[in-house]
Amino acid sequence: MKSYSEIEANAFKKAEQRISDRKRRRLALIRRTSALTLATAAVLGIGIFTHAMKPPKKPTPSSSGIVAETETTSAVTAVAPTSTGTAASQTVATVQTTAATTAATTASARQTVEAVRTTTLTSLTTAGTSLTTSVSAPMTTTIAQQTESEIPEIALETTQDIPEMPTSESFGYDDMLEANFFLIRLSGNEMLVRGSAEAYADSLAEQIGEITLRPTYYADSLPEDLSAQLYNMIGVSSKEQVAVRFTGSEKYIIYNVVETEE
Amino acid sequence: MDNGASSYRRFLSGDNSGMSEIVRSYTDGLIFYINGFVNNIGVSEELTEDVFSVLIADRPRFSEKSSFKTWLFSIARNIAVDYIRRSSKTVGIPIDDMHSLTDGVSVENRYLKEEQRVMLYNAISTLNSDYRQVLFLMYFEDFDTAETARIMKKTKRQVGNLVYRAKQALKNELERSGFEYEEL
Repeated sequence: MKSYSEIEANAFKKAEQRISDRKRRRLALIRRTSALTLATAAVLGIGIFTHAMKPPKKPTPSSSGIVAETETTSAVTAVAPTSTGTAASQTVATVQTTAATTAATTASARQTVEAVRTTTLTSLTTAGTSLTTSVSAPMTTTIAQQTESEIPEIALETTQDIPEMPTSESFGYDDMLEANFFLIRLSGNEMLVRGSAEAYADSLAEQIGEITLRPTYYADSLPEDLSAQLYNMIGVSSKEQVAVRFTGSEKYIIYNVVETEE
Repeated sequence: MDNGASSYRRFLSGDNSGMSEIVRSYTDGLIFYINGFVNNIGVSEELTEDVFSVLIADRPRFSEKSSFKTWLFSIARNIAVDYIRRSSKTVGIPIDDMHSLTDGVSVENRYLKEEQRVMLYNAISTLNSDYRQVLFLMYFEDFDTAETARIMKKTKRQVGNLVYRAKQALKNELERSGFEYEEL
């Protein structure tokens, strides 16, 4: 049986190990995101240059919502898989990128194309800025480069587990947030699913990122865009649970992280 | 009595004796609480060290919305649940390491001073994890319903129902093992 002194000494040793492991992980993350930022900036730069050099073409309607002639290099601030996992209980939450445009099908297509090109260039700049911001946030977001017709969306879908759609009369704002399914790719294949319980503020450790989500399930009752902060929970691996606080909400909601099936 | 808050504040200010006080005050209780999850005193000791290492390394802010003890046991619960998720179902122990394992008996002697508490604890050990948790928290650590609910991440009503069912299960176990008691 260990004495109190031994337990205390071991605790300090383990703490030193935790600190050095954390420093090592952060250093690796900084190296990865720096490389990614440079690569992203290079591709964005090439994309903008290429687009600017290209002469205008006759536009064609696009069912994907993207003007066909525009070679758009899109960036996302948060990515979820475009294909959902096979598990019935998993849901997908989507975020539309600021670089996505709506297809124009009217007779004034050329004017629209010109306007879209300007908008797209502006959006790319904005996306590039937000991309730079998001890549500096540790751990929480995965940046992906998408080609012309593949604008990623993190869509919110319902699952069989949701009994019935609550209304704003039957649910308060915090309840709606807790009841919603959000799917966010943190790293690798991990994603958040539905909030499970309220977390108390003193069970939270450091903030690990900021995200913006657009729910579609309870769209009538929730704001169009929801920004949220993600927190680690004390003593819990962020691969198991994180706490989420949506802007405007008083609650910290515990979200369980599950593996996805690719 | 702030049951550790001032010691923790002193530790955060740079006085390591604050952590020593916390270790001495809570080691035994944490070992037994965590043992309710993992059913292995040796592992419980290791996880108790992990609880303290979280405080030392991460220095989480204690907002004093609950008692320090409640907060500490909440952290212990998170660590125990995390361990259960990570660990495999079967654990192999090399025979050469057997001599270093804690047998739990001397820990009991240090913490469970009364024989009846020892017998009660043994009976509680046979119950399922939730029952063990709630009985240990409320009757060994003297947490109230609200604090227990906070640690176990349940509502007060759920804890109340759990206590009722746990006591019924404990009573059945004690009667089965021939435990004689005047009042429980």
